[in-house]
Amino acid sequence: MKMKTFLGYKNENGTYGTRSYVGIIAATSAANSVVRDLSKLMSDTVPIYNPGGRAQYSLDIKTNERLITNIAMNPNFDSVIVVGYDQERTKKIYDMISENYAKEMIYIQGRNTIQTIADALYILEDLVKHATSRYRTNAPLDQLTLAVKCGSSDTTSGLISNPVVGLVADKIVEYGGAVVFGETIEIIGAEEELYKKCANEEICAKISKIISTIDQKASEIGIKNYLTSPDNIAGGLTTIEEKSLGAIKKIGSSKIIDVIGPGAKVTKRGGVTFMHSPSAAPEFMACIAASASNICLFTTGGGNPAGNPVLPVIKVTGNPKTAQIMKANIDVDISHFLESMNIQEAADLVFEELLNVVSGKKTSAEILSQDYLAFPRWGIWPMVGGEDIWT
Amino acid sequence: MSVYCYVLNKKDNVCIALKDLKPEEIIQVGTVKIKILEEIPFGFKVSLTNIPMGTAIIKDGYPIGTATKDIPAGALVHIHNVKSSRSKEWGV
Repeated sequence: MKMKTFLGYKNENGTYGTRSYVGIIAATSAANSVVRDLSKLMSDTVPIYNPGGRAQYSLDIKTNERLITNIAMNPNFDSVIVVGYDQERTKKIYDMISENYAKEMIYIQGRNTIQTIADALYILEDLVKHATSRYRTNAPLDQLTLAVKCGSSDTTSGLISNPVVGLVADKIVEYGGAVVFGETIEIIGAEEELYKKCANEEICAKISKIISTIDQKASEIGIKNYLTSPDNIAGGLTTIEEKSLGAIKKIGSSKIIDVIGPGAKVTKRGGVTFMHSPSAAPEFMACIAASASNICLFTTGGGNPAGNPVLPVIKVTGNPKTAQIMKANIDVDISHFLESMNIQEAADLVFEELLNVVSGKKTSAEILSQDYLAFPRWGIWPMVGGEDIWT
Repeated sequence: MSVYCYVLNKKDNVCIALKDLKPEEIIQVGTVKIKILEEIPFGFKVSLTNIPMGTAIIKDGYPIGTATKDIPAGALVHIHNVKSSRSKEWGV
């Protein structure tokens, strides 16, 4: 517990990775097939598919660009190659990735698919050799950006696994690291408790504006129920207030020091950042890959299997049935603490597993290749929270 | 007699079953003994007192919804007798 370092990959730009991958980044959806083929041919690569990137306008294209380029700048990528269809779009995405990241680009137009794959493989071979020749070194814990998430929540989520993850989040903050949470719908009904954690009035005002806009839009559109998952209800959760009160326990007792939009980078350390984001796991996963998170603690009551191709996701459950039935998907079973409710002891277990995982141990989601990302749908509440968190 | 019902906050009027509870089973919460009225699965809520219709359900010290009917002590507290103050109706 006194260990203040982990074994990480030091990047030349000063950030630390918990993995060392080569990202194959699709500039537009037209390049997805080539990205898929390349990733199947080369080990240690991570394909990042793009659902759009062409013929999109305004908020759609802005958020698409932010997500895809911020994912490319995740500290777990030793380097990336941007693969696009046309030169202009490919170069735009390439240029948006900061100069202090190792990057290459290639486009299909004027080259054809077969030639693009062949040319890209030669580039990738060098990149993968570099990414896999690095050694892990002692890295300070303040270089961890921990994303906390709950999925397929049930009663045990709010009762034990979220409070336990909250204690681990406190520890990361104590060491100077960053913690990020989101899932906007899952703070609704828990505002009173959440606002106690805001570092200042401005933070509270920003979150409150997001919630009131969603409430208003939901009412206009006719959305009548925020607690939409049948598995939540089957797991004993009755209302969104109950679910949210349990959900916010995963951020621990530290202050919320920043509010950011979906796909934006976490820039403040030593506290908690709230990211306005969807709660569906693959969409939230895309957002945290973009946020520069290098580890995720994911509590689950029912056994949600989602992972992340860019960063390790540790599954924690407090449900004894899930721990048994979904054993293959669970990394830390804390259900045996339900009787004693010794959450400190359970948190020690989770923290120890976190140190192992950020130092190289693979999680269930990694072993099972649970690597699907989905880009968030803005749809019904575009620009919620105002221009400042979207741009 | 069992103590398998967890109370998160002393203000609460519900507890959380930590095992499947059966009708007629007596649970003890603090000094109060409550007779279970119906099957209550693991993880579900049990009323600690009589909760009149229109009264707030308090869990973890906060209102999590309102009773839509009179709920006697020892009953299952869930979507059939509670409505959210933030959602208008049930649906998927």
